[in-house]
Parts: sequence; structure tokens; C-alpha cells
Amino acid sequence: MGMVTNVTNFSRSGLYDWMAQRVSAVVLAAYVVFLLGYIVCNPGMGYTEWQALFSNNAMRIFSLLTLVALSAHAWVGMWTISTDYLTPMALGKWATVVRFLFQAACGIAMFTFFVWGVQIFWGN
Amino acid sequence: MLLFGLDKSLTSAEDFAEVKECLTSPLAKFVIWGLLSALLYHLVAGVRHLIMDMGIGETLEGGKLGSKIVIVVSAILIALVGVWVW
Repeated sequence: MGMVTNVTNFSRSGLYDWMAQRVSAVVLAAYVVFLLGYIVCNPGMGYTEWQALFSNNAMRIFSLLTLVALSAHAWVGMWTISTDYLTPMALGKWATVVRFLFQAACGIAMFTFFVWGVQIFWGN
Repeated sequence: MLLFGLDKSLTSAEDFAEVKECLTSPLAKFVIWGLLSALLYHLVAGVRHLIMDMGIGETLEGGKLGSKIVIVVSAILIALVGVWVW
């Protein structure tokens, strides 16, 4: 099978994507389990404790790492979806343009969420 | 949406109370529950994929069993979260 050259998946190879998706999945799972568990185990949590949780540097770093993992995970996931469905078969000659715009929108959304996250954790 | 809620809830005690108040409405609870349900299903199915990556449950039978387990586990978690949200 000839190597397919691909420039939109932000990685060197399919294997790199595969690994990035798995590693980011583990980070995301850990964060979700931790945060949900924390909230469930602290019913009636007030502002002071909530604010304290997110002013703890370890939590800020963990949250930021999670935002990065989310971007990587979402990128590989959405790239996979867009290359599966936004195809010439489905959209004819406009497929590539539509797919590119879709991927660009995903990229911008991820960057925005990441920057917003940094602002939330370290902004004020 | 979640980032907006987080940002506002961390700004001040009043904003935290406002977010909390907003989350008590039935519509907000339904949205949160829907979001958590999708997340929990994705998480359970994802864990199954990680297990399959380790070579477990990759046969036809193993695959079928795995998907049934995912459905059952997800349903339980989604029900629990539903109770917790309401």
C-alpha cells in the first residue's frame, strides 16, 4: 500500500494519531473521574472550597493538561469523522473545501477553549 | 458553556451563587444530565477500546460481549447520574 501523504491531521503518521488519542483519553478519563468524584463526595460545596480547588496549582496544571488533551483527542476524533463522512462521494467536488473549513473551525474552537482555560486558571 | 460556567463560578461568591441558582432549573438539570450521559457512555466505550487495544475482547464473540457490557455499565452510570442530578 503506497504511503498516503496527508497534511491535515497535524501528526506525522496514523500511528502517531492513534497514540495521541489513547494517551489523551487516559488524561481525560482521569480528570473526569477526579472532578466528578470530588463534586459527588463534597455535596453542598460552597464558593470558598470550589475556588480553593481551582487555585491549587496542581489542579490548575492538571486542568490545563486536560484542555490540551481535549484538543488533541477532539482533533483526532473530528479529523477521523470529517475524513470518513465529508467525502467526494457525499459532497462531490466541494468535499475538500467543506472538510478543510470544518477542520479549521474545529482547530479554532480548540485554540479558543485552551486560551480561555488559561485565562480562567491564571488570568485573575 | 462549561467553561463559561466555570469562569463565572470562580469569579466571586455572588457569581457562584448565581451559577448554582441557574443550575437548579429543570432545563439546566436536563442539559447537564444529557451531557453527563453522553460523556459517561463515551468514557465506558473508550475504556473498552483501550482494553481491546491490549488484545482482550477482539474476537467476534469477545466484541459482542464487550459491547453488551458497555451498554449495561453505561445505562447504570447514566441512571445513577440521573438520580444524582435530580
